[in-house]
Amino acid sequence: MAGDPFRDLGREHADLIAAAYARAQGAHPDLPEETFAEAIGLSVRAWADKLDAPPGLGEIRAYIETLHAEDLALACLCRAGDAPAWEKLVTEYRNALYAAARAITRDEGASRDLADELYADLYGLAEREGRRRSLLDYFHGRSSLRTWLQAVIAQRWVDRNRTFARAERIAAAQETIAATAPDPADPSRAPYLAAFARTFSAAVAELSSRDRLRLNLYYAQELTLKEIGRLMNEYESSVSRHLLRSRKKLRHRVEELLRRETHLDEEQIRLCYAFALEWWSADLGRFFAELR
Amino acid sequence: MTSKERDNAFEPLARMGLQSGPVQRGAECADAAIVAAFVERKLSAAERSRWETHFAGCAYCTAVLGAAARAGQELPQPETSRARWWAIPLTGTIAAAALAALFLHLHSLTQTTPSPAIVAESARTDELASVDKRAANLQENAPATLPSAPEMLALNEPVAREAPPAAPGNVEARDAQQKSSTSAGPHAKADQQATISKRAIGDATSALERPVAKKELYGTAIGGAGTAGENSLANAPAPSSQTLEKATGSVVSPIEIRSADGSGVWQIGRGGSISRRVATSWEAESSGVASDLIAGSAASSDICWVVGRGGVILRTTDGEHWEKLAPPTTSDFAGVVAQSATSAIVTASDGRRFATIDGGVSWHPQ
Repeated sequence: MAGDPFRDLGREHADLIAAAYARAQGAHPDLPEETFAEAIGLSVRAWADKLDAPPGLGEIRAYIETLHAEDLALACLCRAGDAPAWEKLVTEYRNALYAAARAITRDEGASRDLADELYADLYGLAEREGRRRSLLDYFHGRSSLRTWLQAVIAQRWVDRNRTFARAERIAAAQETIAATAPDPADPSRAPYLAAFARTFSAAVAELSSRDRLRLNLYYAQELTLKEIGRLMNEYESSVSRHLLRSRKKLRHRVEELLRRETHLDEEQIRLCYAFALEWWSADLGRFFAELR
Repeated sequence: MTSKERDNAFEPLARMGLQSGPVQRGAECADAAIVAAFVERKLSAAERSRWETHFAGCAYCTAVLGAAARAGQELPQPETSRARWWAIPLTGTIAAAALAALFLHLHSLTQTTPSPAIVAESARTDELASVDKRAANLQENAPATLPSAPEMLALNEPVAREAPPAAPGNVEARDAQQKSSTSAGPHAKADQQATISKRAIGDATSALERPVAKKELYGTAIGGAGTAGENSLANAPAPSSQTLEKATGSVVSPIEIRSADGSGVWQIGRGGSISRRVATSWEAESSGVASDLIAGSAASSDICWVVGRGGVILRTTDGEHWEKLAPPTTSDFAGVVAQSATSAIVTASDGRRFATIDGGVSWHPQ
């Protein structure tokens, strides 16, 4: 391939590719070496495409060394239609997939639908140019096959869940209500709501990425401290401490902005909180009316 | 308003504010390979930093990460610093001591003499039995499904709780209750609507608004994208909490949980409400769930376990912050007996019992 920076990959890293093939062949003796080497090449290219800068030699070697060779080999054989490989994929991963889908959906029916549909796509029911297209075409061995399948299920669930799409419409409805329907009992409410929404957004934007991600995982995704810790590579106690600190920081910054930029006093800040809470929590019927 | 009161008032606002935001998948969003590599910590430091920045501002990717975290039951533990040479014999000594402690602990579980925590719990046996009966009634008369916490929270369900009833003669607490009742009018109304889920909106099934190419979702492959047709879920409307109350004929009233020495007191109730008694007043705490909480057990003034509907198991080890634990079943729970921060036995509403000695990491049927 002209201009392909990885055209000499097989030669430059022959030792690592051979070592990976040896690991893979232990579990999958029928795997052709050329097929596996090609898969490694594609894996390196897919990884490098997402980087900000081309990887150096050392980085490429480190990448190949840490590939999940056995899982990549299984994917290669499944893509090629190898029956024993497919049977292995089904018997070894099906229960884990169902369990993952159940953990995500909390619904037996939805979880089986999700997992069964995924299996169909893994097998590859669609054909293009005479070749069955499998979802496994997108697995490159950087993570384990199990974790990758869990990520795929997670994406599919998020895509299906219209709740998230609706949240956007609710946010739009809230803006409409705040802007056009002031409470007759308190016409001054709208400025408080606008001030709070503005300062809250500004304060969130000032948090560090890790603090924002941690808060989102805790509040928006309702993950446990342990789950967050594992994702962020922190201990539970650290997660708890960081969450507490971030929330306090967020509150102090919101109040500072309300005092400094909107010139609210303490009583008015308290009203801000009360109005914002009522606005977000009450009048759900009005929100629904906006959505229809 | 004290700083603590401000924090409590700000908590639901933070929750609802952080749940809003654009959720459309963008061209820059992570594919499954990146998400999986992030979860397994296979990204380089530069990649990780870059993707954390993206995830922090992307509701879609955060949702995928959250779902992937729930799906992954064997995520790697946080990495410790590099082991020191003196850690090896120390580790061995600690391991031996831990094994001895575990043996003694398991031995104590079989003892007939109950611990103070269990003695305190036994005083609530009648109450627990009535809760069991109420829970069974709820299960019998409840609809097939109830909205899940994420569904309710996605509709910006209020987290604010009504103050627990004051003890007789406690003027300050009564004042606090009256004040919160005065301002809780809309909250009470919202509380009644709290269980309206997305199903109550009558969400029609339809394809995704924007078909997503497989390459965007899953990354680079050999060849192009396939179809992205998805079958949305058909959802039947779920009843509001008023309907539920009519069906069951009862309202789950707040339940008090008290440690053996009386120093730790909590109240739990509907919609995930938890309050803790601090001096002469009740302070609302964030449970992080919207399910009805059915039972609890306090092992000390800071350690308390709570269970509820839909497989909810919560635990606090500092008396204030609550953590949701992975349950052994998603059935409703009717009871819990806690011995420590790591040991507890939960009872499902169908009578099954599960025990843990590692803080809910693993559960063993009893």
